[in-house]
Order: sequence, then C-alpha cells, then structure tokens
Amino acid sequence: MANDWALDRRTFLAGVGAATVAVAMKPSPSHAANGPQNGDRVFLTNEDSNTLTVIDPVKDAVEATVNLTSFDEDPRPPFRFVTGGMTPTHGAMVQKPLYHGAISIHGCVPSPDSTLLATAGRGTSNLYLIDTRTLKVIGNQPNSQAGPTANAEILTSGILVGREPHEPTFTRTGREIWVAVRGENKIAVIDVDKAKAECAGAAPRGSSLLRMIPVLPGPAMVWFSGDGRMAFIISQKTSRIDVFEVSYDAKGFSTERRKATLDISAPDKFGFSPFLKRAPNSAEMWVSHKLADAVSVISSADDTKLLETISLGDKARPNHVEFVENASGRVAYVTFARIDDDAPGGVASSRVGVIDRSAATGARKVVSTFFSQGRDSHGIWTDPSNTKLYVAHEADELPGTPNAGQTVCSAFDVTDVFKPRFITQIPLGDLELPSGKLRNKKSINLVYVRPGAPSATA
Amino acid sequence: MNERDLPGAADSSHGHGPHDHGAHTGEAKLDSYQRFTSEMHSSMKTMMEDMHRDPPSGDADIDFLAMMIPHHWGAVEMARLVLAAGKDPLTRALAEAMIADQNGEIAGMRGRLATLRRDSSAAETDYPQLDGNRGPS
Repeated sequence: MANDWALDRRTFLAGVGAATVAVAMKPSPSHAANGPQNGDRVFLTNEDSNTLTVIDPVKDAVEATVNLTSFDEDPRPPFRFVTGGMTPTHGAMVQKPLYHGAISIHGCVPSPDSTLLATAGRGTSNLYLIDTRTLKVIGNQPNSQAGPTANAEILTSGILVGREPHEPTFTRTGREIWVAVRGENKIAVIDVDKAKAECAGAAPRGSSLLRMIPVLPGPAMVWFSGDGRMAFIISQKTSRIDVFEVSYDAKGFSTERRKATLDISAPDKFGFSPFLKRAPNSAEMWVSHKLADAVSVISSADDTKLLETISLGDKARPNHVEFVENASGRVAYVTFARIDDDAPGGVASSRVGVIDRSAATGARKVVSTFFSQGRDSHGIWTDPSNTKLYVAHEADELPGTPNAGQTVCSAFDVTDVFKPRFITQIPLGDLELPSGKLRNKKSINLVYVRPGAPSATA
Repeated sequence: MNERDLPGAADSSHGHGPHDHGAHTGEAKLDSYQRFTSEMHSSMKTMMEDMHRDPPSGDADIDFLAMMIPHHWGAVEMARLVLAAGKDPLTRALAEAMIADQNGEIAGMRGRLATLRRDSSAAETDYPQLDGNRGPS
C-alpha cells in the first residue's frame, strides 16, 4: 500500500526542488520499526497556559516545556508571572500589564520533514514556528535584561495571520503553511522561509503572507490529498466542505482553484466539523462532526464523494482521529470529549472509539472503545512504527486521583490495535519561570515528531 | 449587607480630642479590625444559613446551583470586607478580581437555576452542548 503512494509522490515531486524530493524519497512513516527512538518527541499545545509540552516517548516523561508566554522578560515585579508570591489564574494571567505572549495556543502540525512545528494562537491571531530539534521558538531575540530574575529571550510576535486561527497545515512540498482563519472565513497562505525571517524581525511584517484565500464561513482546518493536488477545508459554521485543486510551481509554491463545495448537511446538520486528516496511503479524508457525534469519510479522489458516516454514540463529541496500522490490523481511533464515570475504580475518563478500517466501506463501525485515562480527550497521534499511541486531554484530573489537579497525557501500547494497553499517565507539570511555576493546562492538539523523518504532512 | 448593618457604624463619628492622636489611630485600627472580624463572622453565618435554606430538590444540578450562589455571595462579601479593612495591595487586587469574577458567576448561576427550575429537562432538550457532557452511567 505504501509503495503506490510513494511512487505517486516521487512522480509528482520530481520537479519541485532537491530538498523536497529528499523528503519524499524517505520511507513511508507507517513502515518504520521498533517503536519510539531516541530523539523522538511528542508535542502538546496547552491552550490555557500558552505552552507546549514536549514528551520523550522513550522515557514517557516530560522532557521540556516550550514557553510561548512573555512572562519574566521584565524583572520588575508587577510584570512577572508571580508577583509578591501571588500566582495569577490561567484566565487572568494574559491580562497582566505589558503581556505580549501567546493567547490560546491551539492547533499545531509538523512540517513534512518533521523539523518544524507550526502552532496557532487563537487569541493572538498568529502563528509560531518551533525548531523540533532545538526546541527554540523561531525568531525569539536575546533579552537585554536577562539575568537571575529574567528570561534569556524575548518572545517573537510570530506571524500575524488574522482573527481566530484554528489549525495550520503544511503543503506537501513544505514551502507553505495554510492556516484556517476561522474568524475571517479565509485561509492564510504563509511562505515558510520568509516566515522564519519575519518572526525574527529580519523581514517586514506581512512579507511572508502570500495571500488570503476566501473560503466557506468558519474554516476549521485544511488537509491535503496524498499527492497534494487537492485541499479539503472543513467548517465549524456551515455544513459544507470546500475542495480546491492545487498546482505547484517549480519551487513548490501553490496556486489554487475551487473545485467543488460538498454539502454535508446529512451527516452534520449542525455544521460543526473541527478536524480532518487523511488516512495514510489512501484516498480517504476522515472528518469529525463534533456536535453530530459522528465521523465521515470523504473520497479524496476526483469524485470527492461522501463514502460513509460512522456514528459514535450519544454525546460522544468526537475531537481528533488517528490511524494505526500494523500486523494486528487497521483501525481509526477517535477521541471523545465526553467524560464518563465508569472507568476502572470509578475514575472519570473519556473514551476513544476504535473503528476497524479493514471492513468494507459503508459497513465500518465502532467495534470497541477504551478509556483514554484522562478527561476530555482531544489530540491523538501514533509513533512511526504504529505501535504506540499518545492522547492529550483538555480537563485536569479530579481530586482524589493520582495526578489530581494536573493536565495529563496518556500513553498506550497498540501493538494489538484492537486491544490498546494502557502504559502510563504523564502529568504535564509546570513551566519553570524565574518568578515561579506556571502549570501546563488544557491540552488541545498532540503530534508525534521524529525530527528529520517524513511526517503525516509529507 | 448594607452600611446600616455594620456593627459600630452608628459610632463611627465618635470623636477623640485633638491631643490624643496616637490613641485615636490605634483605636481606629482596632475598631476597623473588630468590624472586619465581626462582619466576617456575620457574613459566614448568613452564607451557611442561605446555603441550607432550600430543602434538597431531588436534582443534583439544582441543589448545586442553589447552594453555590450563596457560597459565592459569601466570597464576594469577604472580598468586600477586606477592601474596607485590608491594606496589602496584592491582596486587595485579588479581592477586586474575586468580586468581579464571582458576581459574574452568580449571575450565570441564577440564570441557569431559573431555567432548570422552569424545566429540569432543559439540559436534554437544548441544542447539543459542546462541553460538560457525560456518559449514560
């Protein structure tokens, strides 16, 4: 299965530049072996703390926290995170005077070669780029006030893309980031190389914004077909999907033309579809309908038709979808936001739905669920060997539980895709600032990254 | 609780001679602190009585809201009193934020309580809710 895809990719990318071709020629991500490797990283976006948690999947422990706040750049007490012993609430912290850091970090995605992570600030209307090897925020500047009570760097403003950016994604050439700007009914198309310079202040503001593409109301996310020649754009304001044909110049920069607008009012009468992802090595786009408690599969072949809709059960409130395939089978996992009370020990936990992808199209269904071992499960991603799975959670653990008061990430062994085995719950802990600890809180998206290897956007 | 309810309010104009300024300041401090502790005690008593005023309704959501509204009122009252008696700027700023936040939450809870008391199945029949959902167990 992967071979067909790889050949298509090589043919398509033959003319777009050596660096990009080098990425495309690497093995399919689903065929790597041996589980997590040293250097792999799991990134979680924490919306309330405006931080990124970085987990080492070999140790299943927090390796670092990337700071996207501006606290403690200024050593004067009123402008630090903790002032006079007082820690602000997460909701109030971004209101402190002179705060210029991120607000509501939400979506994220790795570049095709897994060397960059792009993440969107819903409240700050911007995009940040992070080097996945060094964990440096691209464009941060040295802090002239650095010292024992002040951070070494000043946070970049990133790239301003428009109101309420939700999820970014890279074109499969890696040259551009397409950002779903939910509040403006547009897709912001960003030149990646120019964005790096703009983040650092070395290029004029706005110089990396190639264009704004008018799309349907409330665009939530874009994902590209396997050959990169079609872009699917879902919405959280209307029961439609925009489909664009995309062509690329010799350098890998895109031009788009609207191909179709699909009516999905039957599977999603509420018009609230926040997430989509292509199943690897396939022509299937999976879309979550959060209020309709279902996922739909759309053909990313030329016909772009609705293949099927799979019901997830009452109030499941699906968030993200991930695909795992190994010798034991082929499944799609869907995280539920709904929190149940019947996990072992009476502990509150969300569930993850398991859909057997090997069943005939139109006959696929949820064959089982397992507890996500956390509350309000959201982001989900597997490792390149498709034997390990990570799940992010929005809600903190309740009092009386082992990680009470913490936001947690759960790790599972999915060697048997139908019987995920819970490994551990990883509390996300704190960002250590000079003035005190900022607790990492409310994880949204989660991505597994092997720096330098092809990602799901390759 | 309004101004006329404050213990000692009727004596607030009680004067001292111009030559016993130190005694005046010390007594004023003591009066202020005594007023604070007395009012705190009174407010907490009122809060507890109000929290238990309604008998159990048979609906956990309604009981929660009915009890949490006076609980928040108690927090707002404590914050108001420390604004009157306290001096630490950071504590006073925290109290200001609590008054703003919890008054807002009280308004939200009153609105939801009125809705649920009109129709306790409102949560089931409304447009689907994005958050706060639980399974059937």
